Amino acid sequence: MTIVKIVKGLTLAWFVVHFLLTVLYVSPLNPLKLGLYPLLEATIGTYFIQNWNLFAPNPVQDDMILLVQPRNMEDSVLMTNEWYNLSSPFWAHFQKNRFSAYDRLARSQSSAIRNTLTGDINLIPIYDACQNGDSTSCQVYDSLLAERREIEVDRLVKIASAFCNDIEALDEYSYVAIRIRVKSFPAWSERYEDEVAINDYDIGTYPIDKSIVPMGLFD
Amino acid sequence: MTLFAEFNKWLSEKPNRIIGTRILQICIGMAICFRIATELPFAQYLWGPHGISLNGSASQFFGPFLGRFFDSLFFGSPYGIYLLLFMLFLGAISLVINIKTRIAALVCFIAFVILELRLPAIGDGGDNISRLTLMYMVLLTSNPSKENINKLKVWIHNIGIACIITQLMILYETSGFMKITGEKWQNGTAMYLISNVEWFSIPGMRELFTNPIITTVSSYVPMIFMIMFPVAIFSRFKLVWIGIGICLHMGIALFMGLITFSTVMIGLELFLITDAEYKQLKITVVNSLIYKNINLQYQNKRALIKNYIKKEI
Repeated sequence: MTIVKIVKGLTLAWFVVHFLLTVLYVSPLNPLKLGLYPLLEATIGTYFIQNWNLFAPNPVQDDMILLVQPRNMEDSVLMTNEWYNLSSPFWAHFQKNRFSAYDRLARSQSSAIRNTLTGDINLIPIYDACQNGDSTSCQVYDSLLAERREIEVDRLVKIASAFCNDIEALDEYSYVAIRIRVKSFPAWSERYEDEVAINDYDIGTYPIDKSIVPMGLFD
Repeated sequence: MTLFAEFNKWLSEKPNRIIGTRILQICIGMAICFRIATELPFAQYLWGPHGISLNGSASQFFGPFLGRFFDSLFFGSPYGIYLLLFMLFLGAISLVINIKTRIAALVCFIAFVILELRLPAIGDGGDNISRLTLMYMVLLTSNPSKENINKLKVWIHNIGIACIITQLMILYETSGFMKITGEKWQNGTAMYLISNVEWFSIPGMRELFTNPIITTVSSYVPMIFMIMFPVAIFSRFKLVWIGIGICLHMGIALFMGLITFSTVMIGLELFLITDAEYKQLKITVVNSLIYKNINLQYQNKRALIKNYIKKEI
C-alpha cells in the first residue's frame, strides 16, 4: 500500500468518525450521548465546540435590561432613586445603524443577564429533568446555577463599573447596585392589548471596580 | 456504482467547488473585517486586561504551554489585543484577495479561537460556524492551476469540501430539529415574539408580524427549510433551496441586524453550488433576454459615442 493510500484511508476514517461524534454531540440528550459524554467533551466539546440552538427550541421573547444605580455606601439609596438603563440605548442605536458594534456590546450584558436568571444552555436538560420530577436533577441544577450566577454577576459588576468609570459625575460613588428588568410581551392572542409585564430582580450592591476600562460611549 | 465508490471518485478525481471556495473565503474574510472595523474602538473594554472578560484562557484549546504563551502575549498588556486583531485582519484580507489562503485561514482560526475563549459572551452562531469553517478551510486550495496539485492535495481539498458541506447540513438539521420541538415555532408565533424583542427587531416592522399570515409563514418557512436542507441540496431543488436560503439570510440581516452571521451563511449557501453549475448559471445569464437587451443598448450607445467623436474630430 502506498503512503498516499494510507493517508487517504486515514483521512476518510477520520471524516466518518469525526462527523458521527459531531452528530451525537449536537443531538438531544439520549442514552448513547450520556454514555459517550466524556469522549464527546474531550473531542468535539473541546476542539469543535458548537451549538445550533439558533432561537431554538423557543426564541428570545423578553427584553432583559440591565439597570444600575451608583451608591455612596453599600446600603445607601440615592435621593432620586434613579436607575440607569444600560441596555436600551444600545438596542435603540443598533436599530438605527446595523453596521455598528452595538449588537456585540449589548450581547455581553444580555448573555450575562440570561445566564444569571436561568443558567447557561447546558443546564437546560438538567432543568427539564428536574421539571419532570427528578429530585437529583433539581439539586444538581440548583448547585450549577449558583456557580454560574457567581461568574455572571462578576461580569455584570464589571459592565456596571465600566459605565460608572465612563461618567465623570459618578466618580464620587464607590458602590453600584445592579438590577435586572425583564419585560415580557403579550402572547399572540393578546397582541393588541399593549400590556407588557415587567419584573425586576435585584442582584445586589457591589464595589465599583475603578480599574475597568470605560466604553467611551456614555460620557 | 455504489455510494461509497461514487464518493471515493468525487474525492479523487479533481478539486471541487473552486469558485465556491473563493466566494466563501471572501465572505468570511469580509465578515471578519467588519467585526474588526466595528469592534476595534472597544477592544480594551471587551478583551483587554482591564476589560469585562472573565480572563478566559487560550489554554482550553491550545494546552497549558501554548495557551499561557498566547494569554501573556495578547492579554498581558493593553497593546497585545491590537497585535491579535492586526493578525486577524491580515489573515482576513489575505482570504479576500486570495493570497496564501491556507495560511490565512490558519491565522484567522487561531486568532478567532483566542478571542472567543477570552470573551465567549459576545459570540453568535455566525462566529461558531466561521470558526469551524476556518479550520476546514486550511485543507482547501483556491488556486489549483497555480499550485502544484497532486492526487493527495486533490483528496485533502475535497475532504475539506466534504467537511464544510457536512457541517452545514448538521447546523441546519440540528437547528430545524430544535425548532420543531419548540412550542412557539410549532404554533407559528415565534416570529411575532421575536418582532417584539428590541434587540432583534425594527420597531417599524412590528405591526407586520401581528398579521396571522405573515407570522405563521415566516415561522414555518425557516423551520421547513432547515429540516429539508440536507435532502434538498442533493435533489433537483438544490438551486431553489439555496435561493430560499439566501433570501432568508438577507431577511435576517435586514430585520434582525445579524450582518456577520448572514454574510457567512450566504457564503456557505453559495459554496454549495458546483463549478459546473456556476458555468451553467453564467451561460443562462448571458443568454437571457434581459442581458441581451442591456448589452444591445450598451453597444448602440457605444456606437453613437464613437460616431459623435469622429464627427467632432
